[in-house]
Amino acid sequence: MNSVGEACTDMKREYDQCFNRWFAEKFLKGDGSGDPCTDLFKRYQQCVQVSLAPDPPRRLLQPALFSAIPPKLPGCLSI
Amino acid sequence: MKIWSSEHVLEHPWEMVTTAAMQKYPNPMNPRVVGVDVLDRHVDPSRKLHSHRLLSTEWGLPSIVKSTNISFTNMVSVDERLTYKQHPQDPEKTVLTQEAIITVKAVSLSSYLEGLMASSISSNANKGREAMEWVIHKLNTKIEDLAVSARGSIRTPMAAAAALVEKK
Repeated sequence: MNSVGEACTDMKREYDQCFNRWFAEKFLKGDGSGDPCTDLFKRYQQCVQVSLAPDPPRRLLQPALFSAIPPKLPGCLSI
Repeated sequence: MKIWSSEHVLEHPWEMVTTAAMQKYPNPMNPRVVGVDVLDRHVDPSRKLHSHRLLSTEWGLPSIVKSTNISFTNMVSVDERLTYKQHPQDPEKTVLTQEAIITVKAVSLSSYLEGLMASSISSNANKGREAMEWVIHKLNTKIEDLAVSARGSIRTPMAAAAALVEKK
């Protein structure tokens, strides 16, 4: 899957691999140890912010409607 | 405002469904999604993981819309929430709840158009569920392939799923 910024796609994929591994092997198993992907994420983020800077998507500036409505189901994933 | 909601049971455990949800794109059912980016991600003190993601989509506006410079994003917005929860009676299943709020600014939308939009959301919801089944099937198939070729390697299915992600 590509990034919104072409230059960021490789960094994104590297970060995604790290995150997906941590998510399945650590987070879902209740392992509270630290996130090993922070450096990769920072690098990837810097690239994305630069890509979005000239024309940030309008919706990012508006709070999502659902953020004001807490989900009623604890212990579940809300996307 | 109009609220649309739907509930659906996926015949897969919650861990598999959430792993698939994190890797939902690309998939053949959603060709319009051309990019996915994580804008923020953190685990809060209650150990809840928050991910703020941006999906880039291409819809190929017809030329008449381009020429008259109509921006529907000014008039209509759709907020959608999907919630995956372990099935209360069966831990091997997951309940997906989908909700959508349609907001129209300044223009009074006829009930016919509201109905059309709800129809469209509903049909997209079906595609989204097919997409999840496709991603889960892909993850499961590769887990089986890895298990067959692993030869004595002791790995849980989820670790194998993570390993196949690294191979991609």
